[in-house]
Amino acid sequence: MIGLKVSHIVIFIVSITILSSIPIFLSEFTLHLLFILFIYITLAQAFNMLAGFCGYLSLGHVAYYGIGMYITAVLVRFGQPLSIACFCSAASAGVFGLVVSLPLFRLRGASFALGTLAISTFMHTLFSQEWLGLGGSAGLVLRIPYSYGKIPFYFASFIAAVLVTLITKLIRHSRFGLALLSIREDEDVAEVLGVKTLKEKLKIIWLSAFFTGLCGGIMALYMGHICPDNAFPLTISLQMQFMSILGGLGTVIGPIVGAVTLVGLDSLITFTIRELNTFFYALIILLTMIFMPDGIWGTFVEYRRKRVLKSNNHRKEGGSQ
Amino acid sequence: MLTLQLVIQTIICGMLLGGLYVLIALGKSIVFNVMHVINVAQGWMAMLGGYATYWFFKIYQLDPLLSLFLIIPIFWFIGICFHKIFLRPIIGRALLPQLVITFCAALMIESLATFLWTADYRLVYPSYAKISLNFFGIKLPFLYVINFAIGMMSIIILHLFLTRTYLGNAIRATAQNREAAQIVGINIERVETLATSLSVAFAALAGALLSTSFALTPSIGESWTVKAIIIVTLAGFGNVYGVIPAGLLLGIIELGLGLLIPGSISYGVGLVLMLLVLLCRPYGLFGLRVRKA
Repeated sequence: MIGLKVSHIVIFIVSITILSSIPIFLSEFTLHLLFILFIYITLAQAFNMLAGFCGYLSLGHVAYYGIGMYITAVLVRFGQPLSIACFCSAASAGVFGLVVSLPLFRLRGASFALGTLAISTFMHTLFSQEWLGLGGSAGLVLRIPYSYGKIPFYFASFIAAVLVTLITKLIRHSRFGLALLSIREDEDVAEVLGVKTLKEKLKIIWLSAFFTGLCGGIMALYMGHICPDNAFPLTISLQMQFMSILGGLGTVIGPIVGAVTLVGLDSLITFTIRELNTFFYALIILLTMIFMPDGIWGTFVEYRRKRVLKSNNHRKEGGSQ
Repeated sequence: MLTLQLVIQTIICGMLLGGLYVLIALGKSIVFNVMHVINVAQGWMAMLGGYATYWFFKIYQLDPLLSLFLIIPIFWFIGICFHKIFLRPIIGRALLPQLVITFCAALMIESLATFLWTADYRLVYPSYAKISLNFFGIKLPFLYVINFAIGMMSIIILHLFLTRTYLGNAIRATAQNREAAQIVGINIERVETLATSLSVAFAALAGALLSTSFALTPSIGESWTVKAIIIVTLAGFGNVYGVIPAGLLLGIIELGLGLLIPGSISYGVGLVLMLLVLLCRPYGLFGLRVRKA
């Protein structure tokens, strides 16, 4: 129907069943790793929605993440239940994304990227101010009962990751997705052909900011300490880029592959010299970028396509003889 | 308590400080114009230059101003390596690979710096750091004045180089039109390497000069890069000389707001200004409406 094969559905259902039944058997550390992995998958997919499908490169997604964190913290402090706080923060991060992007979408390419960078860095400065009543640079502390353990967080992040992947898959094969792709290829032509570009862009930024904010909300509850350095680090924006480009922009599976690679690298590299692990981390991403410009999954897809083409040609030649 | 003297002093100090940011932004602007690559590692290069000064100062007790004669050739060479390794693969590629690769380079530099010098704050503190000059009640730190003078001198030298020499003309020709430059026999490859090493040397010069007035830490590169981006945007991409007034303006804003409002909001104001310029005058404050943004 929407480009799904039976085998894909089977793999999807089996992996969901396995992943949702294993947490009780896992150690705290593995749970933590998987939690981070699911958060990263969600972040990478959210970034991919905008950059991969729509072609707008945002350097400031961490602004939505931080907004999600702070709104969750404030709502929980006012005594709202955790799940509602998380959801509301995600929705308001989405609205924040809309408000910010409305003027920013007048820009394209590098200017858009720099504008979003400016916004996210500005948010860091803004939330460091004392007069905002959010604790300044010291930040806020949430008291989440320790008895919750890690399993609820595991499931929250798991649901977010599954949801965002499903939505990306749906978008990819819908009319909306085609509109986005046409904007990526040539915005002016798309506009002439009757695509309401601004409307489509605003829709996708809402979704993207929603999921980024959701991750922020979950992370706020998980960490329990919200300060500008936690909420608006440039590294989150960077890692979102790294993951989606490592896996392959504009594909559905790519960001997942990228997130798995990045988390794997992160935990492997910890065993080398401690001061230099960022060095090796950056080096590996660099090499991948130079030698696999389409990302891991993109290269794989391309390779598979070429092989199929080759065998088709071969068969054709064989038939003509 | 705002007196006229204090205001004038702040404005002049801001200009003196902004003059050094100009050096970082200038290199970025040159690289962008020649290669159409946004190099975000520029601020980290400046940080490296600052640490090199620190090393010369600490180990050989070399004066920071004298060590410039060593630092510029060293970073010229580093610039050549940087170009061959990082910039050459990304010329002509999309924005995202450019940003990711130069960010990777920046991360590698930062982690090397953390490994070599640890994350502690380091300061180059020459004997004349305490002297202040007094003009009619306006007090200026001697270091700021001399650093600014060196910075402006190097900008003048750069200007002479770009306008009066064959190589400088080649750089400008490449920036104007790559294909045409190639047709008239300019070796694009060499010109690009030259432009990168120029920009890296300028960043290192800025870092060396800034290291006497700012405490160094490996992560300071990030804020310097953001400042360079603000300045280049204010000036307009593609406008090399507009960087100078834009940098002075940023310096004045930074110190002036620090005087009026306590806290660190000045950094944010620079960013808001950059956003406004992007939205209302995408060709920059001083740029002409020539190129589509």
